[in-house]
Amino acid sequence: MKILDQRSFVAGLIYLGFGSAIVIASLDIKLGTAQRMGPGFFPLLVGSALLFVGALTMLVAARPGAPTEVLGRWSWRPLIVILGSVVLFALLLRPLGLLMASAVLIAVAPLAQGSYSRSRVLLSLAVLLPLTWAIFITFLGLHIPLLPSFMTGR
Amino acid sequence: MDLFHNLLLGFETALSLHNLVYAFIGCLLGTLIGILPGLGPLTTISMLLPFSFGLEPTTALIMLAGIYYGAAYGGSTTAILINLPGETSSVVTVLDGYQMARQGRAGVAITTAAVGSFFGGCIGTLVLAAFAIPLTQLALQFGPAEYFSLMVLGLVGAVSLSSGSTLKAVGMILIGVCLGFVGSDLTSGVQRFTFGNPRLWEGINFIVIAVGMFAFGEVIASLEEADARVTGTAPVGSLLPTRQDRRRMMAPILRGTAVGCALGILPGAGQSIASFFAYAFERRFSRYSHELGKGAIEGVAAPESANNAAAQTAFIPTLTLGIPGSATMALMLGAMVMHNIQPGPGVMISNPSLFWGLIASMWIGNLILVVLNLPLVGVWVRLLRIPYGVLFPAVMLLGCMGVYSSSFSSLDLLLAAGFGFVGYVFKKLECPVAPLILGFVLGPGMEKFFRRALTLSEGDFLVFFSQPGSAVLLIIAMFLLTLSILPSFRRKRNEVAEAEA
Repeated sequence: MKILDQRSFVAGLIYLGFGSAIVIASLDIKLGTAQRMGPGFFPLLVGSALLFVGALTMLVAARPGAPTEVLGRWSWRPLIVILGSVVLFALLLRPLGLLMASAVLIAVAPLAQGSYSRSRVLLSLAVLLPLTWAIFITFLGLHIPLLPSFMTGR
Repeated sequence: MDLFHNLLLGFETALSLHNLVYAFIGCLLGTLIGILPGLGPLTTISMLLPFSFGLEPTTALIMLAGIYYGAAYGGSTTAILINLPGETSSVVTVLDGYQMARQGRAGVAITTAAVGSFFGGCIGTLVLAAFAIPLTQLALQFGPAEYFSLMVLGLVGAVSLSSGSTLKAVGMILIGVCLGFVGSDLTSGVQRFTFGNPRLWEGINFIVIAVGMFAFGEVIASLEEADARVTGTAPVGSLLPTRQDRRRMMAPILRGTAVGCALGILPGAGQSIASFFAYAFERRFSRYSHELGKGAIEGVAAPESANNAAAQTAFIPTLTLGIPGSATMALMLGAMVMHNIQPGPGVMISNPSLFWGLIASMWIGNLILVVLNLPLVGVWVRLLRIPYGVLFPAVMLLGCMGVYSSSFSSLDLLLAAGFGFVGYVFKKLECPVAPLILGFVLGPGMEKFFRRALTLSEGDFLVFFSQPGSAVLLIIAMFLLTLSILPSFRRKRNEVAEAEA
């Protein structure tokens, strides 16, 4: 049996999986009774509903008359670069300080686009780094170390 | 609680220098993001939310609201000058607006849009003020069963009026509610779904989901689509409309405002539908409908009045009932919760200066926006040349800073990246992301009221139907749900969505 609406099928599968996980997890938590609901009661209800919706979605997607929706191509480049640069920022922020971590982010992010323009990146750095300092450290007064920890000894 | 004294209090609050400055900032930001395609109110508000933490709640909301309805102004400029809508709400303005620009009447179109927007915005605010007291009084009589059913209705309404698979949208809502379970349960204090990680004891930070899905996720999605190269912009020309223009724009502005006020209140409908309906209305009722599509002033005046009126009335369910009609409104609610304000009918009573100050500042904001949009048009036009490649690293930096500064936790940043991924996956699977945040925001409240209702009814599940108010609300919800499954309704709804695409 060929599944026509692949996108919805996978979506339903995700719902089913997630819903089942919630149901299983909430059975471990005190359920209580309807009158005195424990912390596990409502999650159990919602998880079951999600499970049901997931199954229904899968069925609807697999029926013969479903609209054809193919799983599209994934654009790996923007996905990996954007998320990767956030992860980089998160990991580098404390060891390298705000300025360097921001610089890395600004320099890496444009890789997500086809054409990497070094001059544009330099311009962005020149504009955004002082702005970052001005807005976040000076104006908003956030306590984030600007310089790398090995320089400040923190 | 009479309207006059409340408004007086409101204006007193809104006219403080502090609040005026932030209203201006909000309107300015709103105009800017309205003009820049690729950056929307949802992304911007999700990024600025963490920074508004340091402000007083009234000031924070004034600024965020300014961004929201300000974007409804700015989008029309781009639509008229470049044939590209700056915001989804200005898609319809492109039709006649750009034609007017090609006829050398761009300035007139911009002025018409501004006047229509101002009128629509003011009337919308008036409606908001007028509805506030009676609606709140009604809602205060609600018991927990009614509140629960109201939230269900709000969620169902939001999905049934937006296009796409209703079933998948419901699934997204449920996932959102489940995400809200993480952390300690409000009533019993028991840890749920925290995998033993103390960082998750307070639950998933709302900012993490908002920025992850709506800022990072949006950036990924925008980069995926081919860049629309901005070619030349049409010259602006004179800003002044002729006497005939002035005569002709009055009726469409009135009609558009009426449509906008009505549709803005409905959850899920939002500004884009309002402007589309206003245009369709003009086609049906205007004396000059034959000119629509070729540069008729009606085609600019009506949709612009509609989307600004809708932007204002969209606040009604959020402020008075605590029910967000859209993801952006959910963010507003999130902002209130962040500032320790419990959204719902109680807000007007416990925080009158916040409530009425916000409403008063919307009037002031609309005034600021007309000034910003008319004389300064030339400046904005130049901004249109900024390529997205320069914008998005700034967006990301702001997003990262936003997440980090709200909890100083690198884990939150990693989680936000995770949600960016999740958001992308769901987009690929054609699952609407907005219902997820609606479910996340409303989930805890729903559980609270569900539990209370059951405790009061001593375990009787039928209480939601035996209480008349609750029953009515649930029946409307079921009606809407059935409606959204019927093929004829879906076709109409998808038509609107395609016009937006």
